Amino acid sequence: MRKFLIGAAAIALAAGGALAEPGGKGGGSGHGKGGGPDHAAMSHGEGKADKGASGGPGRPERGPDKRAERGSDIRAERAERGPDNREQARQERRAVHSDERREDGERGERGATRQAGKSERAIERREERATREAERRVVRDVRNDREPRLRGDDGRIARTDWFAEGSERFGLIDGCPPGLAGKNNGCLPPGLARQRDRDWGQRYHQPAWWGYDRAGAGRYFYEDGYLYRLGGDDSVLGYIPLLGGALSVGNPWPSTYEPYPVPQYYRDYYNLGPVDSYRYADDVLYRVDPQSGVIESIAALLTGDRFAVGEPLPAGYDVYNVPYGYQDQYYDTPDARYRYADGYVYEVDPTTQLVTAVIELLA
Amino acid sequence: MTGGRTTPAARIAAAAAAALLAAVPLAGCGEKAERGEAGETGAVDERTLAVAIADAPGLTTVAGALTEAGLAGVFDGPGSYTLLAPDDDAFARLEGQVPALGDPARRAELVAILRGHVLPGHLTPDAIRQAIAARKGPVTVTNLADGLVTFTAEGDSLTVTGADGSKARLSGTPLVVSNGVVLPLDGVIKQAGEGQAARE
Repeated sequence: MRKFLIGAAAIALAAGGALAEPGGKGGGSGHGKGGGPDHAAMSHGEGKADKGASGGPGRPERGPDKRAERGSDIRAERAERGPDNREQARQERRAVHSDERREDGERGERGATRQAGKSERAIERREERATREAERRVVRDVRNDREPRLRGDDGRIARTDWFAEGSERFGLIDGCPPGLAGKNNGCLPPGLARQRDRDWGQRYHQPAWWGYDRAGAGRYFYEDGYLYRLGGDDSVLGYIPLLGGALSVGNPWPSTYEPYPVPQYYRDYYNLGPVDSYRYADDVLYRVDPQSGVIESIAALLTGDRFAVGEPLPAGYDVYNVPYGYQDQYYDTPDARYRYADGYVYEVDPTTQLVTAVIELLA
Repeated sequence: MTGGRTTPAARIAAAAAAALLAAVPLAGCGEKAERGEAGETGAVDERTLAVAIADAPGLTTVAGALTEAGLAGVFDGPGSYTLLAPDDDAFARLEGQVPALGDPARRAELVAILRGHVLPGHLTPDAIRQAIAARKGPVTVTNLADGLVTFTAEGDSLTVTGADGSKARLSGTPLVVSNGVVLPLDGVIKQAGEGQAARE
């Protein structure tokens, strides 16, 4: 599967990007117009802003499966974070305008009370605008982290390098799956052992059919939820646990796929909870029981497409696809296109097809 | 987004209001030409994709498949998706070629096929048509199985072609709901893993 966007820097960078002036010309990374969403918000006027204040139509609750168990904690966490962010924006905004305030004060001392009041209102408007910007969390400089390979319990390398761009191996675990290893048959998949279904022309024996285009050369054999990589003597060299197969609801999470701490934004957006309550593999987010490690549900399917400011829009985004609840804010204009993937909206320059902003959808 | 969090009921009311607003022509809003509207699909309702699919007549097979595959929860969550949903007739025509429901040993195959029918975000037929018109030709959309699907317009109908060349037409009434869209198809756009040779 393709690379999974890592937005680790998103949270930290959100405030800085968000503080760009409407129009964005003075802030952000300097890419593009920087004003897409700002422009959109301005174009829509107050009525749309009011509508936005309602939380946006059609925005579903986050993470239904865990709401009952963890929802209150997560909501509380967000409740704390949201106002903090807004307050931080206000404080930073106040710092930026501290000189203005002093000037206003001086004018007030000169007796221009009405002028001072006007300036205060102007400052308040600017602060409100800054707050809205912060809430929109326009991130203009998301970069992709590189996660080092993870080492399994038994010392084998679980090549969970789906995250490594250009890698030719995706999710292939060296060795024999635990269930098969326990059979003491030399790690021979039953179907292969029985010499049945050895029609190598079946599509399901091809990694590409499963989306593992870059799984690497070799001979593969699919059976019962695993895609095995075989050696010349039909010995199993490695295996990929498949969604819906080994990675099914009710099955234990493979120990060699260690927990991967996805960026906080993904945790929030998909309501994943603490790091021990979810897992990631192959562009899929799973919820697991923290104690048993059993897969409880599939939380999200991800494109894994790589977006970064200043880089070209990946292929496959020809059609406007912004979630309904956000279409009032992010709609295509002659100056900007908006596309959605994996919890983010991306602003794209229609002319250059370069990504100009990465926009988080959580307020 | 300026007013903090709202209750689900408020969101539902907002969704209804948004649907009404979407139906009102806006003078001077040519810039909204590519915005996806409910359009021909009618008002956006507050149900989730999971509920809408489960309730949809003619989509009972794909609904059952999604449930069996464990994917129904995905469509009941915060992510926005468009499901290209082969209708019951399509599954009936492909009997024996698509992994049968209730066979855990082949569930991974079923999931792989379904995954090829899931697109990120909220794609309406109107938005697809507008994109085709703007490009004056086929448009491509990534799917959630690491592939691309291609939409083409043929007269009034839209055809979608999967990564392996399988084609189907959009048929029936799209379901536009709070967290995505269901576009019924008259076929399957990812061939089953079993069957014809696929040597490269």
